[in-house]
Amino acid sequence: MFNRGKKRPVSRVDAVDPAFEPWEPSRPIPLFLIAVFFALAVWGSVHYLGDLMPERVSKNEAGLPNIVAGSSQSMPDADAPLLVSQGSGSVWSCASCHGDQGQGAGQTPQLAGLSQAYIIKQLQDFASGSRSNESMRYVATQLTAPQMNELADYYARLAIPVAQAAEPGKDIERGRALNLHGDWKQDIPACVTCHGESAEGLGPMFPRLAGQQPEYLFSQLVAFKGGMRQNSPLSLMDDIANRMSTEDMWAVSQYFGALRQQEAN
Amino acid sequence: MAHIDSNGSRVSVLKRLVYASMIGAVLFGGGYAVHKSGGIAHIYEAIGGRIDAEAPKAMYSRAQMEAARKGNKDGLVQERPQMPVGANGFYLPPSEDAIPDNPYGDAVRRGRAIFTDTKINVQDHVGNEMACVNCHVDAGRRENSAPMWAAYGAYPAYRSKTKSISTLEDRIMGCFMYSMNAQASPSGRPPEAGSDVYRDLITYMAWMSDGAPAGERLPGALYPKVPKPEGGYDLARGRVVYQQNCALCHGSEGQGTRNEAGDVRFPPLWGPQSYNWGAGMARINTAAGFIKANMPFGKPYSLSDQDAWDVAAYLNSHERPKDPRQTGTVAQAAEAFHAGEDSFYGKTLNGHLLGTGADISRQ
Repeated sequence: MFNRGKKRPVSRVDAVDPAFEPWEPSRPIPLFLIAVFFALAVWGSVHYLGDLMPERVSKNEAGLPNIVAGSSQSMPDADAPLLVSQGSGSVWSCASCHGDQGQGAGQTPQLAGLSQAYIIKQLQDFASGSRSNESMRYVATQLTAPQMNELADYYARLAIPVAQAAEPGKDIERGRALNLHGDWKQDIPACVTCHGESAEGLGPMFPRLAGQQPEYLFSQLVAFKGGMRQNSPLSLMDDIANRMSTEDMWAVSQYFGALRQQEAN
Repeated sequence: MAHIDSNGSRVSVLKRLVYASMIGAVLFGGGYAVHKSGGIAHIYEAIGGRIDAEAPKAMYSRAQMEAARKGNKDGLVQERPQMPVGANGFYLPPSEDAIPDNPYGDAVRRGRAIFTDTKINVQDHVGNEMACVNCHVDAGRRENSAPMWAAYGAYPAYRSKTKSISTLEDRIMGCFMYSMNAQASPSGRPPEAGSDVYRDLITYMAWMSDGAPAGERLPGALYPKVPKPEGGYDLARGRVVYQQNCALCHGSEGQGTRNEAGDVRFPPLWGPQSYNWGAGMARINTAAGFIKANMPFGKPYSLSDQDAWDVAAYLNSHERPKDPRQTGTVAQAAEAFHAGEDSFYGKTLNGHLLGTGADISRQ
């Protein structure tokens, strides 16, 4: 064995390039590559900061209380559960993403005014994985059942922020038509049938849609359509979203985002 | 790597970094601008990509029909107006926002309101929690859900149920009598013949049917016929189908769901607040057809024929308000009005004679 091995190293030595210099000075990284790196870094940090610092409701109708970061009323109520305002040792606070008034922003949903049963079901679904979202899976698995109850109860009773005024347009009109009548030629039932006359929600299965963050609504419709969210009972929303065009999903999201609450219960 | 550079490496590295960050900023800015301007979408479209998932086009739109009609009126007969047909091959009723703003349109709107919120708008003659729209989906516009545009041109007709000629008004009166259980309403009977209730409802139907040929059995009329399974139907299986597919909205006890204000959102399927034994829906075959084509809501044709029959039988094996035609015993009414039909009327199940009527006081 060793005899056979002896011959080979000799031939390998011959193959070594005598001009090879192990300490060859490295060539500078191409300028363009660094530039691309910078551009990506800027993009990434803008994106990250955008998620970290949710947009605030800025436009509002005159005379109505506004929800603006920094104002005294933007702190969670004094009687809010600690988990809402401060989180715990292992879990960040709810308010850090969902806002001080549970209003959400962008793709982070508004929790204020969702029914207690619905919030509990979603937390359980995050924990079990039937609704996928890494952050919420982590949070939900850290929560005990009594904590879930407490949080859900808190958000269910929280005053519902006033929705942003909608500029009437094609999307809003189409959204209204889909809400009230659906589009049965494409087997899309009217939203109002299950989500309620003023989209106030019904029971543990049909959430309030009125005043919800439009980007969140859109992201969820896309998730239903793409099979990323699978916790709709009877896969009702999977089927319905599947038949909706991207434009229709955007239109209903805009419509519900701007829908005013008739009256917070 | 300190040894690589002979002429002041730090300066050169810093310089390069500054250049790179400037170019990077320009790249980012440019990219952002392109993104914001929608330029990518334009390029995508230019190379043939389709962004708009356009709604499928009608086979023969109402606009085409109107144009053909206008041509006819002007004496330039080029084309006979045809029935408007939607992308799915069924009659295309006018859109809701096409209801005209005139007294005719007002009647249409009133009719539509009666159709969708029957109990609110015809308080005196509705004796349960049902509304027209519960069985006629999409406010009576949905094919295979007994659409009004197919019913409008089908009357007057001889009906074996009444053994006489029924006008459209007579037919609607039947709905109040059986499906809306008028016997338990404050007045105890359907709206009188000639009532504005019928006038408005029929005007709504007429508006919806503009362009649908009369007398012809249109595709999508009534409920589809679901062939009765060879092995018949089974109540135990039906119960399982019910709990899996229906209980979510109609409740595990079939009594429907109310919102916080107490309004019925999903109708009760049996018991004192549901349709009575004389309603067409109390027949298993009819209910199976409706269920197959329309239930669970938003999931048409998702149940198998067997499941549809089993669950239809399960619903209709529960007690409900009595048949208002019954004057003598249930057995006599079964003989006179229910002979040969697929229903549980007059049959005894678990020691209970079905047809004796659900007691409202027990609710």
